[in-house]
Amino acid sequence: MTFIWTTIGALLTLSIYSFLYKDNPFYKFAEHLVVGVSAGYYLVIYYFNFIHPNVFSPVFLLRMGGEPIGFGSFLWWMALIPGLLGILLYARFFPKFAWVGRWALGVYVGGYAGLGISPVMQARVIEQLRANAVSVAGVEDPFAAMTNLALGVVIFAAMTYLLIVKRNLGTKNLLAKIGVLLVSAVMGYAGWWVLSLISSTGVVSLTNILLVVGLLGTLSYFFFSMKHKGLLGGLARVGIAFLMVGFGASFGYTVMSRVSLLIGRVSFLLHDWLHLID
Amino acid sequence: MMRRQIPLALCFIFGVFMTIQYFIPHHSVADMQERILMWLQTLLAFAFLLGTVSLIKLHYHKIRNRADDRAYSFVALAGLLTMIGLGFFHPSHNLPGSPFSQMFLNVQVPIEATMFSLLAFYIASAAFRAFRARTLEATLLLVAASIVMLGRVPIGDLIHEGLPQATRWILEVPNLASKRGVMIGVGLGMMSTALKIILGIERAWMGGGD
Repeated sequence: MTFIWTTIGALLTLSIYSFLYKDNPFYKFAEHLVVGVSAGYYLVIYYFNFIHPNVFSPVFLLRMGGEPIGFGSFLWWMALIPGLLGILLYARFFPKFAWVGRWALGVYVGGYAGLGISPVMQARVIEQLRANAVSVAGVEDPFAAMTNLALGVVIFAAMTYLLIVKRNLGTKNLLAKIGVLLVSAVMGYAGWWVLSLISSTGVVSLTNILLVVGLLGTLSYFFFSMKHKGLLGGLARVGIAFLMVGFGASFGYTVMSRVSLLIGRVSFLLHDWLHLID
Repeated sequence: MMRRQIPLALCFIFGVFMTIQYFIPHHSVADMQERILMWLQTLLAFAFLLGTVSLIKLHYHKIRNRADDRAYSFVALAGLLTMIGLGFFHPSHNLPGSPFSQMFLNVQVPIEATMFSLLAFYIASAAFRAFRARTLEATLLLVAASIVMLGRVPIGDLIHEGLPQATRWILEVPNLASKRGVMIGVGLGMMSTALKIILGIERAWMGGGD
């Protein structure tokens, strides 16, 4: 029996992968099958987890959580209300009375909107600000070397840009160009070295500085009440750089999670179904 | 009045109660909050049932109108009715090994996992077309994505032992800073939208008409 179920799973897996070639009847079959099966699955789960214990059982069987309840009692009415509200949702099948469904929607939308405000404020705003309110004094900095390297590269790039592109791009003398490049390289390296020295002595935590600057930059980028120029414009540009690194990281992370799923499916086909690999 | 004012009033009353109940440490308020939460979950179940009825209607009409792809409508309805039959009329549908759970494990789970894994191919081809290091920002995105992808697989460690560490650094410093900024912005947006809904400023949920 297990082999039959595994074979069904394997054939459906291959049907979905056939879409890589082009849209075809096998893919459409599996696609429609999963729509029906998942709708049926969640319908059964929702009924037995919510509708049956919260409405059907108390209202018709006069039992709540195994305990008997009286017809017309407070608990009976409390169980009847969500049932009536739920039935109101079906008024949309009768255009003349479709507006009645809004009563149930009003309860649902308002209830969840109110339920969400405090947790969202706590988890998404206050806790994030608290976690980012870090000390710039270097206490524990496991990424000091990496941060210094990154800052060193940035400083080197900035020096090169300022000294060569901005001031001396027009110079014709090759020796002067090489000299400027060398000076900027030395200055960049010196800046990197000084930062490394400061970080290793524990005076400042560069990682924490980056966290604070990154957050301020990102928030500045999404602050549309003022024109992005001057300090705000500069911070917004820094924010874009951080956002791009964040998007890149998210993209890479997503790709790897999908590849992990792919490996899982191939392993299912070759190991669980065909027993070709251990 | 009945068509728009009562739903708005219900939305306001339930919204305000669910907002302030966090700040009233009394057992009667906690009981009421628990009861309303149960109502909301039950309403969600009824709404899901409504969606299923719409799905049945859609495929029924396709079959009745002899649409070209009606064969697949039979497949969808067969899957749905099989699960309903196994769930409601099989005595031990929720036990491991029952036909209901076998259908879930061997039909739904493999198809969904495979569909998500398909994205590995499309996301890679999309990246190949979209990733061009034309600007500094695009270069940052490209470099960060490449490092994270290489740093999370064994070959990354073989290429250079610093790659996994660089991946960790990217995820825990610049990525975290930007994600926190986005999360705070989303949180403030969610709160303001919830307030607008409760106060009746945002009424899109009521739909059009009277």
